[in-house]
Amino acid sequence: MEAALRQQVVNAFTQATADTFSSMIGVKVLRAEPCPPLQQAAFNHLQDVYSPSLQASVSLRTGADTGLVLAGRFLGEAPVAYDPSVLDALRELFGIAVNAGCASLTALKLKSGLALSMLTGDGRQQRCGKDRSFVIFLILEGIGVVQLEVAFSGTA
Amino acid sequence: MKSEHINPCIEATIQTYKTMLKVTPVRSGDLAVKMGVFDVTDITGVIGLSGTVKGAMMLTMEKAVACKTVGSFLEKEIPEVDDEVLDGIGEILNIIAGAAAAKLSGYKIQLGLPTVLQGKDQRMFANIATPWIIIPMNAPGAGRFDIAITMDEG
Repeated sequence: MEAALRQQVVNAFTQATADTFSSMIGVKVLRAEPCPPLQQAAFNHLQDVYSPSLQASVSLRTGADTGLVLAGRFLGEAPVAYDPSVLDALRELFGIAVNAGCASLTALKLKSGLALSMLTGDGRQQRCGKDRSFVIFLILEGIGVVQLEVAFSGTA
Repeated sequence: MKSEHINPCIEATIQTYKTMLKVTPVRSGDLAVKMGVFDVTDITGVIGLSGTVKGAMMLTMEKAVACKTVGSFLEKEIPEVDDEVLDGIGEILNIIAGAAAAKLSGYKIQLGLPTVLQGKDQRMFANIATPWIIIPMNAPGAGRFDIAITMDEG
């Protein structure tokens, strides 16, 4: 898979995530920039995207406090712990971002797989069996940071 | 989620362990259905299944079991979890999922990228439409692990 197309895919998911935060919960993304993988993620959203010509895994990760604020904005109330309603809200919000990224890449006819949500305590680390991945920090105004990772399959 | 999804997962797990690790794992407890928020162990690998279904498989075990499992796979002693162990668990899960997908007749299934998470107090969240079926297993010489599957055919 050529580098320009990979960059186009990464840009599409970055833009879709920023647009989703802006339109769904009124949060502005101040900056989006490449970064090393975040080791302090508490909430992990994992979702495959695929088409006949492309196979990738999109993950969105946040720290514990940021995740609660995002869920609170989405639910319209301030949660204090990661209960099922908070996790459902984050899965829904991040799923909307991933699906919007797929929809914006019309020519690729991308579909999204099942969304998986995981909470991780101390000592986090994540590995993908991947060919190449791109990690982007989305810095949210007044809230914190969300990390977007797009990992491409070696066969794509 | 249908009952006929479960046996291919068990068969694929046994087949993979026999071929790659030279041991025959056995069932070590009753199946469990998990939804909502539930605990998983320190090392958890997940892989998406797509195509005619949307689903995922999960392989989860304690750190010591992961070291022994990947150590058997690579034929060397591994004292603690490192990148090689995480990659190894992802690879074993990839092989199990590929074998299970081939055994799920009537479905055209494409595998996603395996992802392995390490950390204390890990919890998975599943909503009511996509519960996980957890299958406890035990591999002689390595230890207890769970293989799990979830599918949304809607």
